[in-house]
Amino acid sequence: MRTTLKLITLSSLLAASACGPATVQYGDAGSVQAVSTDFGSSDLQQIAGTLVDSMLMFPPIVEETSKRRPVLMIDRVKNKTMQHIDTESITDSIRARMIKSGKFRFIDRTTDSQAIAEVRYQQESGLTKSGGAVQFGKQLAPEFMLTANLSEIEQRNSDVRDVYYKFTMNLKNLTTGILEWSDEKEIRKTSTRSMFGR
Amino acid sequence: MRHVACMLLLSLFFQGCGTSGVEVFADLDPSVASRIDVGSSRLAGRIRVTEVKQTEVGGLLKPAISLKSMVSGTQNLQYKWSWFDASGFDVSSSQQHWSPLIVYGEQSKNIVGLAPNAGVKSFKFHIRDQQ
Repeated sequence: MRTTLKLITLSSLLAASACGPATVQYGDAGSVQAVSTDFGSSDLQQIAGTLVDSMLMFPPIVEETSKRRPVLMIDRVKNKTMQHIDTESITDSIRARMIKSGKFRFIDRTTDSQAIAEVRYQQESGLTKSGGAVQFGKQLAPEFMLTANLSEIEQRNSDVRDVYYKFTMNLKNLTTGILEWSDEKEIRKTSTRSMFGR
Repeated sequence: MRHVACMLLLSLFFQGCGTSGVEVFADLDPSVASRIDVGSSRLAGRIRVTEVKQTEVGGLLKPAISLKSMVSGTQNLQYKWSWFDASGFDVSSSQQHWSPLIVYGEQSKNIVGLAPNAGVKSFKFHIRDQQ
Protein backbone atom coordinates (compact mmCIF):
# COMPACT_ATOMS: atom_id res chain seq x y z
CA MET A 1 0.00 0.00 0.00
CA ARG A 2 2.79 2.39 1.00
CA THR A 3 4.76 1.43 -2.14
CA THR A 4 1.71 2.03 -4.34
CA LEU A 5 1.19 5.43 -2.74
CA LYS A 6 4.83 6.33 -3.36
CA LEU A 7 4.57 5.28 -7.00
CA ILE A 8 1.41 7.33 -7.51
CA THR A 9 3.05 10.41 -5.92
CA LEU A 10 6.17 10.02 -8.05
CA SER A 11 4.12 9.61 -11.25
CA SER A 12 2.06 12.69 -10.41
CA LEU A 13 5.18 14.77 -9.80
CA LEU A 14 6.69 13.66 -13.09
CA ALA A 15 3.47 14.43 -14.96
CA ALA A 16 3.21 17.86 -13.32
CA SER A 17 6.81 18.72 -14.25
CA ALA A 18 5.92 18.16 -17.93
CA CYS A 19 3.16 20.74 -17.74
CA GLY A 20 3.63 24.49 -17.66
CA PRO A 21 4.16 27.35 -20.13
CA ALA A 22 6.34 26.85 -23.22
CA THR A 23 9.83 28.29 -22.93
CA VAL A 24 11.36 30.49 -25.58
CA GLN A 25 15.06 31.09 -26.06
CA TYR A 26 17.43 32.30 -28.76
CA GLY A 27 19.05 29.64 -30.91
CA ASP A 28 22.32 29.64 -32.82
CA ALA A 29 21.69 30.95 -36.34
CA GLY A 30 24.90 29.27 -37.50
CA SER A 31 24.14 25.82 -36.18
CA VAL A 32 23.39 22.86 -38.41
CA GLN A 33 19.75 21.95 -37.84
CA ALA A 34 18.41 19.04 -39.85
CA VAL A 35 14.85 19.23 -38.54
CA SER A 36 13.41 17.63 -41.67
CA THR A 37 14.39 16.75 -45.22
CA ASP A 38 12.89 20.03 -46.43
CA PHE A 39 15.24 22.73 -47.64
CA GLY A 40 16.44 24.68 -44.60
CA SER A 41 18.66 27.47 -43.35
CA SER A 42 21.72 25.23 -43.00
CA ASP A 43 21.36 24.19 -46.62
CA LEU A 44 21.19 27.82 -47.69
CA GLN A 45 24.34 28.66 -45.74
CA GLN A 46 26.24 25.68 -47.14
CA ILE A 47 25.29 26.57 -50.71
CA ALA A 48 26.21 30.23 -50.44
CA GLY A 49 29.53 29.46 -48.76
CA THR A 50 30.64 26.64 -51.05
CA LEU A 51 29.74 28.23 -54.36
CA VAL A 52 31.15 31.67 -53.60
CA ASP A 53 34.43 30.08 -52.45
CA SER A 54 34.53 28.02 -55.62
CA MET A 55 34.10 31.09 -57.81
CA LEU A 56 36.69 33.10 -55.90
CA MET A 57 39.27 30.32 -56.32
CA PHE A 58 38.64 29.73 -60.05
CA PRO A 59 41.84 30.83 -61.84
CA PRO A 60 40.28 32.97 -64.63
CA ILE A 61 38.14 34.76 -62.00
CA VAL A 62 41.22 35.24 -59.81
CA GLU A 63 43.01 36.79 -62.76
CA GLU A 64 40.07 39.02 -63.71
CA THR A 65 39.50 40.26 -60.15
CA SER A 66 43.20 40.90 -59.54
CA LYS A 67 43.05 43.84 -61.97
CA ARG A 68 39.64 45.31 -61.18
CA ARG A 69 36.23 44.69 -59.63
CA PRO A 70 33.81 43.43 -62.31
CA VAL A 71 30.18 44.56 -62.20
CA LEU A 72 27.65 41.75 -61.81
CA MET A 73 23.96 41.24 -61.51
CA ILE A 74 22.31 38.18 -60.02
CA ASP A 75 19.16 36.72 -61.52
CA ARG A 76 16.38 35.02 -59.61
CA VAL A 77 17.06 31.36 -58.76
CA LYS A 78 14.92 28.93 -60.75
CA ASN A 79 13.24 26.79 -58.12
CA LYS A 80 12.65 23.40 -59.71
CA THR A 81 11.70 21.72 -56.43
CA MET A 82 8.19 20.99 -55.20
CA GLN A 83 8.75 23.15 -52.12
CA HIS A 84 8.06 26.78 -51.56
CA ILE A 85 11.55 28.21 -51.02
CA ASP A 86 12.43 31.86 -50.68
CA THR A 87 15.12 31.78 -53.35
CA GLU A 88 15.74 35.50 -52.99
CA SER A 89 17.30 34.83 -49.59
CA ILE A 90 19.76 32.46 -51.30
CA THR A 91 20.78 35.11 -53.82
CA ASP A 92 20.96 37.74 -51.08
CA SER A 93 23.39 35.57 -49.11
CA ILE A 94 25.49 34.86 -52.20
CA ARG A 95 25.61 38.52 -53.18
CA ALA A 96 26.47 39.68 -49.64
CA ARG A 97 29.31 37.17 -49.44
CA MET A 98 30.70 38.23 -52.82
CA ILE A 99 30.53 41.93 -52.00
CA LYS A 100 32.29 41.31 -48.66
CA SER A 101 35.15 39.64 -50.52
CA GLY A 102 35.95 43.02 -52.06
CA LYS A 103 36.31 41.40 -55.49
CA PHE A 104 32.99 42.29 -57.12
CA ARG A 105 30.45 45.08 -57.50
CA PHE A 106 26.74 44.45 -57.98
CA ILE A 107 23.85 46.08 -59.75
CA ASP A 108 20.58 45.64 -57.88
CA ARG A 109 17.61 45.59 -60.22
CA THR A 110 15.07 44.87 -57.51
CA THR A 111 15.09 48.47 -56.30
CA ASP A 112 15.09 50.16 -59.72
CA SER A 113 11.55 51.52 -59.41
CA GLN A 114 12.33 53.12 -56.06
CA ALA A 115 15.58 54.53 -57.44
CA ILE A 116 13.77 56.03 -60.46
CA ALA A 117 11.14 57.59 -58.21
CA GLU A 118 13.84 59.08 -55.99
CA VAL A 119 15.84 60.52 -58.89
CA ARG A 120 12.68 62.04 -60.42
CA TYR A 121 11.82 63.57 -57.07
CA GLN A 122 15.28 65.09 -56.77
CA GLN A 123 15.03 66.58 -60.25
CA GLU A 124 11.42 67.78 -60.19
CA SER A 125 10.53 68.65 -56.63
CA GLY A 126 12.70 71.74 -56.52
CA LEU A 127 13.91 70.80 -53.06
CA THR A 128 17.36 69.61 -54.12
CA LYS A 129 20.22 72.14 -54.32
CA SER A 130 20.95 73.26 -57.87
CA GLY A 131 23.32 70.84 -59.58
CA GLY A 132 22.99 68.39 -56.71
CA ALA A 133 20.30 66.14 -58.17
CA VAL A 134 21.38 62.73 -59.44
CA GLN A 135 21.15 62.51 -63.25
CA PHE A 136 19.73 59.65 -65.29
CA GLY A 137 21.95 57.80 -67.72
CA LYS A 138 25.07 57.53 -65.55
CA GLN A 139 24.63 54.09 -63.99
CA LEU A 140 27.10 51.31 -64.75
CA ALA A 141 25.80 48.33 -66.70
CA PRO A 142 26.49 44.82 -65.45
CA GLU A 143 29.18 42.91 -67.37
CA PHE A 144 28.34 39.50 -65.96
CA MET A 145 25.18 37.76 -64.84
CA LEU A 146 24.87 35.07 -62.18
CA THR A 147 22.12 32.53 -62.77
CA ALA A 148 21.17 29.51 -60.72
CA ASN A 149 18.89 26.47 -60.52
CA LEU A 150 17.77 24.49 -57.50
CA SER A 151 16.42 21.02 -58.13
CA GLU A 152 15.53 18.04 -55.98
CA ILE A 153 15.18 14.29 -56.46
CA GLU A 154 13.19 12.43 -53.86
CA GLN A 155 13.06 8.72 -53.13
CA ARG A 156 10.95 7.16 -50.45
CA ASN A 157 9.62 3.93 -49.08
CA SER A 158 7.57 3.18 -45.98
CA ASP A 159 10.50 3.85 -43.62
CA VAL A 160 12.92 6.16 -45.41
CA ARG A 161 12.63 9.48 -47.19
CA ASP A 162 15.75 10.49 -49.08
CA VAL A 163 15.98 13.90 -50.74
CA TYR A 164 18.85 14.99 -52.96
CA TYR A 165 19.24 18.71 -53.70
CA LYS A 166 21.42 20.15 -56.40
CA PHE A 167 22.13 23.85 -56.68
CA THR A 168 23.86 24.88 -59.91
CA MET A 169 25.23 28.36 -60.44
CA ASN A 170 26.65 29.91 -63.63
CA LEU A 171 28.49 33.12 -64.40
CA LYS A 172 27.72 34.42 -67.88
CA ASN A 173 29.69 37.09 -69.73
CA LEU A 174 26.99 39.45 -71.08
CA THR A 175 29.24 40.73 -73.87
CA THR A 176 30.45 37.43 -75.31
CA GLY A 177 27.71 35.10 -74.05
CA ILE A 178 30.36 32.74 -72.67
CA LEU A 179 29.81 30.90 -69.40
CA GLU A 180 32.95 32.01 -67.55
CA TRP A 181 32.35 29.82 -64.49
CA SER A 182 29.95 27.10 -63.37
CA ASP A 183 29.73 24.90 -60.30
CA GLU A 184 27.20 22.97 -58.27
CA LYS A 185 26.59 22.04 -54.67
CA GLU A 186 24.89 18.77 -53.76
CA ILE A 187 23.11 18.08 -50.49
CA ARG A 188 21.50 14.83 -49.42
CA LYS A 189 19.10 14.62 -46.48
CA THR A 190 17.66 11.37 -45.23
CA SER A 191 14.96 10.79 -42.65
CA THR A 192 14.34 7.36 -41.22
CA ARG A 193 11.20 6.42 -39.38
CA SER A 194 11.93 5.05 -35.91
CA MET A 195 10.57 1.70 -34.91
CA PHE A 196 8.22 3.04 -32.27
CA GLY A 197 7.40 6.51 -33.51
CA ARG A 198 5.64 8.45 -36.21
CA MET B 1 34.84 -8.60 -2.55
CA ARG B 2 38.31 -9.21 -3.96
CA HIS B 3 36.71 -9.61 -7.41
CA VAL B 4 34.98 -6.22 -7.11
CA ALA B 5 38.21 -4.54 -5.99
CA CYS B 6 40.06 -5.97 -9.02
CA MET B 7 37.37 -4.73 -11.41
CA LEU B 8 37.52 -1.27 -9.83
CA LEU B 9 41.29 -1.12 -10.18
CA LEU B 10 41.12 -2.26 -13.80
CA SER B 11 38.53 0.39 -14.68
CA LEU B 12 40.70 3.09 -13.09
CA PHE B 13 43.67 1.77 -15.04
CA PHE B 14 41.85 1.96 -18.41
CA GLN B 15 40.54 5.44 -17.59
CA GLY B 16 44.11 6.55 -17.28
CA CYS B 17 44.80 5.13 -20.73
CA GLY B 18 42.20 7.46 -22.34
CA THR B 19 43.56 10.20 -24.58
CA SER B 20 44.19 13.58 -23.04
CA GLY B 21 43.30 15.24 -26.35
CA VAL B 22 46.94 16.13 -27.01
CA GLU B 23 47.55 13.03 -29.15
CA VAL B 24 45.26 14.38 -31.88
CA PHE B 25 48.08 16.82 -32.79
CA ALA B 26 50.95 14.42 -32.14
CA ASP B 27 52.73 15.13 -35.43
CA LEU B 28 52.09 18.86 -35.62
CA ASP B 29 54.13 21.83 -34.55
CA PRO B 30 52.57 23.39 -31.39
CA SER B 31 52.11 26.74 -33.14
CA VAL B 32 50.15 24.98 -35.86
CA ALA B 33 48.23 22.82 -33.40
CA SER B 34 46.97 25.97 -31.66
CA ARG B 35 44.96 26.74 -34.79
CA ILE B 36 42.79 23.66 -34.26
CA ASP B 37 39.93 23.55 -31.78
CA VAL B 38 38.59 20.08 -31.09
CA GLY B 39 35.20 20.15 -29.40
CA SER B 40 35.80 17.54 -26.74
CA SER B 41 38.37 15.10 -25.43
CA ARG B 42 36.07 12.29 -26.54
CA LEU B 43 36.30 13.53 -30.14
CA ALA B 44 40.03 14.03 -29.77
CA GLY B 45 40.31 10.29 -29.22
CA ARG B 46 38.51 9.55 -32.47
CA ILE B 47 40.18 11.86 -34.97
CA ARG B 48 43.72 12.93 -35.72
CA VAL B 49 44.75 16.10 -37.52
CA THR B 50 47.57 15.00 -39.81
CA GLU B 51 48.38 18.18 -41.69
CA VAL B 52 47.65 21.89 -41.63
CA LYS B 53 48.71 24.06 -44.53
CA GLN B 54 47.84 27.35 -46.10
CA THR B 55 48.32 29.29 -49.28
CA GLU B 56 46.86 32.40 -50.93
CA VAL B 57 44.50 32.62 -53.87
CA GLY B 58 43.81 36.03 -55.33
CA GLY B 59 45.02 37.62 -52.10
CA LEU B 60 42.66 35.49 -50.00
CA LEU B 61 44.00 33.12 -47.37
CA LYS B 62 43.24 29.49 -48.21
CA PRO B 63 43.88 27.01 -45.39
CA ALA B 64 43.57 23.25 -45.67
CA ILE B 65 43.23 20.68 -42.90
CA SER B 66 43.83 16.96 -43.32
CA LEU B 67 42.32 14.72 -40.71
CA LYS B 68 41.95 10.99 -40.22
CA SER B 69 39.36 9.00 -38.37
CA MET B 70 40.86 6.66 -35.79
CA VAL B 71 37.72 4.56 -35.38
CA SER B 72 36.00 2.06 -37.63
CA GLY B 73 32.51 3.55 -37.48
CA THR B 74 31.04 6.55 -39.30
CA GLN B 75 31.29 9.85 -37.49
CA ASN B 76 28.85 12.71 -37.98
CA LEU B 77 30.79 15.87 -37.20
CA GLN B 78 30.56 19.60 -37.80
CA TYR B 79 33.27 22.13 -38.58
CA LYS B 80 33.70 25.85 -39.07
CA TRP B 81 36.44 28.43 -39.60
CA SER B 82 37.30 31.53 -37.61
CA TRP B 83 39.24 34.31 -39.31
CA PHE B 84 41.62 36.86 -37.78
CA ASP B 85 43.17 40.04 -39.12
CA ALA B 86 46.80 41.11 -38.77
CA SER B 87 46.11 42.42 -35.26
CA GLY B 88 44.60 39.13 -34.14
CA PHE B 89 41.03 40.41 -34.02
CA ASP B 90 38.32 37.92 -34.90
CA VAL B 91 36.80 39.20 -38.14
CA SER B 92 34.57 36.19 -38.74
CA SER B 93 31.14 37.23 -39.79
CA SER B 94 28.53 37.02 -37.08
CA GLN B 95 26.78 34.62 -39.42
CA GLN B 96 29.71 32.17 -39.41
CA HIS B 97 28.04 28.79 -39.62
CA TRP B 98 28.84 25.19 -38.86
CA SER B 99 29.02 22.78 -41.80
CA PRO B 100 28.26 19.08 -41.59
CA LEU B 101 31.11 16.61 -42.09
CA ILE B 102 30.69 12.86 -42.46
CA VAL B 103 33.85 10.86 -41.87
CA TYR B 104 33.67 7.15 -42.59
CA GLY B 105 35.62 4.51 -40.70
CA GLU B 106 39.38 5.23 -40.75
CA GLN B 107 38.88 7.64 -43.64
CA SER B 108 41.20 10.56 -44.32
CA LYS B 109 39.54 13.80 -45.23
CA ASN B 110 40.76 17.17 -46.53
CA ILE B 111 38.84 20.29 -45.64
CA VAL B 112 39.62 23.49 -47.48
CA GLY B 113 38.51 26.97 -46.48
CA LEU B 114 38.74 30.42 -48.01
CA ALA B 115 39.02 33.66 -46.10
CA PRO B 116 36.11 36.07 -46.64
CA ASN B 117 38.38 38.98 -47.61
CA ALA B 118 42.01 39.99 -48.10
CA GLY B 119 42.30 41.47 -44.61
CA VAL B 120 42.36 38.00 -43.04
CA LYS B 121 45.85 36.90 -42.05
CA SER B 122 45.25 33.85 -39.86
CA PHE B 123 42.58 31.27 -39.10
CA LYS B 124 41.31 28.75 -36.57
CA PHE B 125 39.60 25.48 -37.45
CA HIS B 126 36.85 24.20 -35.16
CA ILE B 127 35.48 20.65 -35.20
CA ARG B 128 32.90 19.05 -32.95
CA ASP B 129 30.45 16.18 -32.76
CA GLN B 130 27.08 16.71 -34.42
CA GLN B 131 24.84 18.60 -32.02
